[in-house]
Amino acid sequence: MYELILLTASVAAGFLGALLGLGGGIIIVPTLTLIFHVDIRYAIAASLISVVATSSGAAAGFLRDRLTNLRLAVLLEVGTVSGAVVGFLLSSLIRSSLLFLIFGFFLLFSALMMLRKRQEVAAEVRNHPWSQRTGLASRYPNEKGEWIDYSVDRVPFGLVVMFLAGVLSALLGIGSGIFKVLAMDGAMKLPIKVSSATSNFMIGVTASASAGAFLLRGDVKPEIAGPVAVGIIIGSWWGARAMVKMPAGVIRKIFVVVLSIVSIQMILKGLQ
Amino acid sequence: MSFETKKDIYSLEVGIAKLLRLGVIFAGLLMLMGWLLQIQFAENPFLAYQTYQKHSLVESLNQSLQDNSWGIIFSYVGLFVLISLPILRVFATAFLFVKRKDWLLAAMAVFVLSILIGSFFMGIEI
Repeated sequence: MYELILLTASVAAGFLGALLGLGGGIIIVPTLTLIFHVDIRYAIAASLISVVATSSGAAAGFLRDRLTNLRLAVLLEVGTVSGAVVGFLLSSLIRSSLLFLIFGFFLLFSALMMLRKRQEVAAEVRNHPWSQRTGLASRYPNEKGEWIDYSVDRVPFGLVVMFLAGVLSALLGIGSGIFKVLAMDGAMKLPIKVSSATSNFMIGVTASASAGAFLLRGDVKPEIAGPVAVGIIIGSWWGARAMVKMPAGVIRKIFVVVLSIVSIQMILKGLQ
Repeated sequence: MSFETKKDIYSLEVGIAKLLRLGVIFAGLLMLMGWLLQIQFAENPFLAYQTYQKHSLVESLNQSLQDNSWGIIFSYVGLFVLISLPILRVFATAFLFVKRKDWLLAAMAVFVLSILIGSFFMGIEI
């Protein structure tokens, strides 16, 4: 009975995650802790597994659509996996209540970011010297099939944000897709489709950097990770197919409300 | 770089991504099987996990082998398959960069790969 409820919740998490470009971790961890009263450490470990599943499953579509910037992904992954290692090491030093607080504030931040208007990419974007050195500038096909060139700015800043995203990923059991997209779209001035595709590619690597360590430490429990992973895989497959027809604007607004409520509950739990 | 090489590399990228998707399905099926083999509808399986207790993977696996809990074993195999997928992907990406003679990016990919593999061992208590 309980497992079926968790499975349903995971399918919903995968569905919403695919619709909104998230790994599902920010739904799974509150579900496991607030509804099933699972210890947050087990919830985080199980959630990381689901992020790996979502990312690996979706990679094919984005790569085929020529949206993923592989070179940029690898460069930024240097930052994220380093951060994930630090995050994992920190996780055993931080009290559970503090994890709830950090998670709650992160959810509030995510809700605010969902409301922000997407800025149009400036016509003239500087190609940072690091980008020139490593050949990050590229092009992507728009809806009409025309190739649009783009440059990459503020690479060092992007790397620092990726390091922080990696730390949060291991601490909270999320893919940190929101941070990645923000850094790439907002700071590095990449087109949003390229940011989303490249972020989706990266969250799996970031998550696996700490998921493996959690698994070997014994924090991933099959009774929890099983229904979560299966549900997320089914949900994200379904969500990716539904994405074309869904009114994303309405879903986004509902999600902001839900995120805000959950964030307050997580913060309150952290303050207990 | 010739057009043929670019096309080859793109096909390799897409091929790897498709393999990832198959890997996820395979891992998912293993975990589904494992989960169904151990499912107990009457009890709440999450009660045991309301408080955190250190219990290493090796201990859990030994216990499962002793109890013949095939459900748990299948689940763990599925989990290992799943976690290995991003590692395989980074390895393939490093290989791609070497093929393109992109030494700087190849070195970065190898660095990421070593962190990923090394991070596994962080979970083992010495």
